[in-house]
Amino acid sequence: MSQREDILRELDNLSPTLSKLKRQLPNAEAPPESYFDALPGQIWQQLKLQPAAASAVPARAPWWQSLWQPRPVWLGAASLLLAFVAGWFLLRPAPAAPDLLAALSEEEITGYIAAYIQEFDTDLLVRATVELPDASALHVEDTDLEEFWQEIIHSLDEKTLEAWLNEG
Amino acid sequence: MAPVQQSKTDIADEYILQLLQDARSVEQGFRLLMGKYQQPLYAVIRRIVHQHEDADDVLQNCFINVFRNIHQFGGKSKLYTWLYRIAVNEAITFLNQQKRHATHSLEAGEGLALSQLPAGDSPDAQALQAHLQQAISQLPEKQRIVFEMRYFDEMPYEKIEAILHTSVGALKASYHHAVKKIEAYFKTNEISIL
Repeated sequence: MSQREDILRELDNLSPTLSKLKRQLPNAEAPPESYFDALPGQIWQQLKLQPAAASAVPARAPWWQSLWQPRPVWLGAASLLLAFVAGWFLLRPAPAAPDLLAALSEEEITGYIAAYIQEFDTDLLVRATVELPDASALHVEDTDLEEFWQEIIHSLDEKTLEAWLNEG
Repeated sequence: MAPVQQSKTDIADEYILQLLQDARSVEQGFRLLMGKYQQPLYAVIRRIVHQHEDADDVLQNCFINVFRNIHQFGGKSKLYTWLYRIAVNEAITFLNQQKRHATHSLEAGEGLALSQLPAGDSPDAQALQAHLQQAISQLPEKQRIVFEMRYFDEMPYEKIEAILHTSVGALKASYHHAVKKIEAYFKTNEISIL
């Protein structure tokens, strides 16, 4: 069945009344005489007056300009990669410091403290020592401890030392 | 022996496109393109916008846009389908602008329907055609375009789909609604076709 017959049959099914009407285009399509002869030249003149856009041949841009051209696929992939790296950086698990300390033996810890005791903040060390239930648990040698206390006492001003003694 | 004159409509699209790709032959390509397609595109546009002056403006814009964007024609569809789509889009854009400026009235369409009828038919036949044009002019814009493409141009739905970028199902619905509305117009006005 031809395409035309298909269309006529469809119209007949939809509207038998309308399918009986003679199909003819109104004369509205007829333009003024010689209209089509002049039109190409007229439009070409318009295009020549707009030189920026008057080229059907796309200008070839230098290769380096193509680097700045938007590349939807590349941009999408780069954005995803950036989001992934940023997410990994922000959400990565914190270094497992407690686990590292747990892996050290008590002797290693006390040895480290004894070796670098001069570098510790004295106030922090005092607080830590006081808070410890048994300072001897650190196995610090008595001489080192004595030396340490002497340093602390010498570093204190008279008023603080007096206040300490009164509290004791 | 005199050379055989080749008709403008016989010139292959591929040849025209080839000419348009080269700056040295672009004008020749453009003139051939216009020679081949200006009349069918004018008919399409004229049927949508009605008045010759409007159709002239739209057709000029259409060919300017075609020329500027011809390098984007990828050959996925036929050149005529691509041109037809641009022409229809330009005409619809024009109508929408007219509506915004409130200068395009229904009366203009009605006037055209009643005055520009095929000559040579009997008064009854002319009256029927006038009523048909009147009924068509009262359809919503999209339905009107689909109806005219199917009824007058006898286009298959697949081709209309390629031009209007509307699914075949939606086109069938538009066409069916349009036919029913035209039929209802004839019944309401007690117009007998027999």
